[in-house]
Amino acid sequence: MTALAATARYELRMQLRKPAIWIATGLPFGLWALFAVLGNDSTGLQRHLRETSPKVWIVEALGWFTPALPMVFGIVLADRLVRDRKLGVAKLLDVTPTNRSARLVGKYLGACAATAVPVALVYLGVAAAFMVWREQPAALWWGLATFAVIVLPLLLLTGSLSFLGPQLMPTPLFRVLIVGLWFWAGVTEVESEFPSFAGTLLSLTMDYPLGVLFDSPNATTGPAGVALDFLRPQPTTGAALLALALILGLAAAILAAAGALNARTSE
Amino acid sequence: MRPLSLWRHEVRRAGWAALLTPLVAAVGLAVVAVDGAIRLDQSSRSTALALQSLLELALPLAAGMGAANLVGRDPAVELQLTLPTAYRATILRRLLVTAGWVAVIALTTAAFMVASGWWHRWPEAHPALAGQLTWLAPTLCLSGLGLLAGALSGSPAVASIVVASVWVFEYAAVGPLQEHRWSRLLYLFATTRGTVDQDWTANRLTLLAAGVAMTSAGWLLLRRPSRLLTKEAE
Amino acid sequence: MRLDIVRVSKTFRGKVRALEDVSLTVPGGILGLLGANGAGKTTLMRLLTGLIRPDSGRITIGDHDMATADGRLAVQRVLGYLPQDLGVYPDLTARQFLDYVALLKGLDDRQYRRRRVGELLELVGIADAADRKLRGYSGGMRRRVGIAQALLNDPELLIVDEPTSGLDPEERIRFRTLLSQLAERRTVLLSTHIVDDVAQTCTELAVLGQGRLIYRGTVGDLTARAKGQVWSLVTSGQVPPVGTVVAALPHDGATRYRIVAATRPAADAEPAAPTLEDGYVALAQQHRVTAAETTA
Repeated sequence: MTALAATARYELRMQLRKPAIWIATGLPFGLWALFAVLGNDSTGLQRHLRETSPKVWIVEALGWFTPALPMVFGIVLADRLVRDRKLGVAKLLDVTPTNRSARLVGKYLGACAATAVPVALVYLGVAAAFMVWREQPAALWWGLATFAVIVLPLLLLTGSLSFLGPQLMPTPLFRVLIVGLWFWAGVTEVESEFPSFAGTLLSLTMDYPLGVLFDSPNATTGPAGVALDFLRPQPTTGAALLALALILGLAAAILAAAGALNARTSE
Repeated sequence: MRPLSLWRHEVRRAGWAALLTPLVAAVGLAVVAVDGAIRLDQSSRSTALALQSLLELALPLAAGMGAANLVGRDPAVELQLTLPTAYRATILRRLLVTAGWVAVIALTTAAFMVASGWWHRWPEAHPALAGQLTWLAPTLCLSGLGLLAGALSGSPAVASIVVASVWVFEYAAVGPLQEHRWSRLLYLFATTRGTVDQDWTANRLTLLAAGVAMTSAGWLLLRRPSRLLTKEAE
Repeated sequence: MRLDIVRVSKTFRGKVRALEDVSLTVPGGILGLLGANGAGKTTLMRLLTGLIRPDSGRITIGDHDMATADGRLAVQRVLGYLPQDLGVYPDLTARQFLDYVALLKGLDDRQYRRRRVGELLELVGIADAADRKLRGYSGGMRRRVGIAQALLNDPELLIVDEPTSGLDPEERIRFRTLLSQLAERRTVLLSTHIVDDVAQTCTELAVLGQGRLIYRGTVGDLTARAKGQVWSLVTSGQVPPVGTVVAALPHDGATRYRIVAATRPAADAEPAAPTLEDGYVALAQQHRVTAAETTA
């Protein structure tokens, strides 16, 4: 087994045992469920119960759950890389005949995979519920598609930020800033005068893929006449794919920076 | 009354992250507010909102996350638990340091807002004195929540998730949360995100009471040292 | 200060039996506590310091019942404790760390506290490095800081868990001498798996094995247990599968083995005078046999 695979496997198995991963998904999901019940006919569960389209069900029913994910991913993954150094394990691993970059990528993929498991269960659970209730097998595919296209890129981006950020600042500060980032790059209203990534190709609520590929009416896309509008092209399939590519490219670049910084600090 | 030296040490133990975080939150929103004020003519409402949001959203979040990081990060916890100074008293001192610092920033910001006239440009703002509940109520509530979550889980990660999830949920679910009286009373952002007018005072007092209750529950949970020993220190 | 431990048991998570029906009295002076890793020494230390509570049994220290909060607080006021894994605050200097712990021990008078910290830094030999941050300290230096903090409040009861781990030979000798001096007017409990530390410091000891008290007596008596069971054998072949090898030294192209065994392990094995370590090994062997017979 390669160092990358071994590290990923270990990280996955270790993380899945920790309650934090499950609470990180379970609590926002539970609060979402509370919101769904609390809401009235136009906002709450009652509206979704009238839904017959599996695509709309998945996207809308989880429309309030998905935006919280970058925040919880960032908080959960915040201490993964710096922990090795604090425990003194990093020095031990550095003298093994393994490639440090391979170990870093393995750790990253394993940690992201562990964080993804409970979320995948939620998505597939909700999709399966709809499939059984409305007798629409397509729901499962939409659940998988939403998870793969919307959730995984978000996870990879916040995962890479969580590998870089805590190397630059104390972990508690990073955890607060990730909430701030979620706020600024996701849920701020686009029409507000403050420059933000909300409604752009780099939005942490994945507006372009959600709006174009999944027809979500809650997604905000297109020029808004405010700052950073060059990141708000017309909502086309190309723009949606570009958004995905940018998110994944940014994740890779940030991870590379995290690796370089980690190597430098270790020496 | 314990010596000032002990408090100085606890300031250090709270960590410069706990002291920096509210400042970063404050500076971030202040920059946004100033940017709005400079760039746009009709910015007074937006800028006033940004400044009130600093008080009601950003600073309480910083306080809550600071409280969430008090339990489970102490490398000398085993030694601390054998000393005649109760460890929960030490935690409480650190909580007072963290929340106290947030209060200093909040009061300074509020004083600036009142003196500069920005306070009253937000239509839903309350009189300057009673209006300090804008930040005090959610700060105490989220700090209590952070401490309780930390005492229950022994994990700063879990406690941070709890605080952040509640904060995010209350931010996002403003509509449904306004439909029921009980949820209106527990709404953290009644000043900036809206509530029924006559409910504001009851809302603030409910949050204060909830904060005191959660802090007390955390205090009780921290009585048993063996709970803290078994948790993995981060 | 007298310690009375009466039929104390402790189980973790419903299945790990760390201590089982342990009774032990320490009238004063210094007691060595020996045992293999996992024998229950640290659990016993934690019970005595009030960190954890026993599932059954009673612990009384001086006149204080450790089952009550007041009792535990009273003991902690006169306790000096050096944990096995001492965590420190890496951003503090040794002087700052000791100052902080002194405050937490109730030494509020600033002048007295400074003087006391200075004395202890000299005593443990780190006065020159006192203003360096602890993150730059070696393991041995941190151990010395740990010893210093345990002595801050001039404790009546001193509990030290693996105190010499990480110390170089000179430091260990120095620390042992210090412990013996401290034991003249206080009760000291020295928990270790290094037999030599006990041999050089204590006349009385207790041995834990798998959570049970398997020996309580003098160092001399435990050493005597191995009388007639210690053998010296020089061989270049395989060591006989009898007993326990406690030492192996190169000797003229062969190896000189020191073996603890109830019977002569080989025809040319010569008897040797037992040491405390041999006595401990003989005891451990007997305990294993007894345990096997009990479960059979």
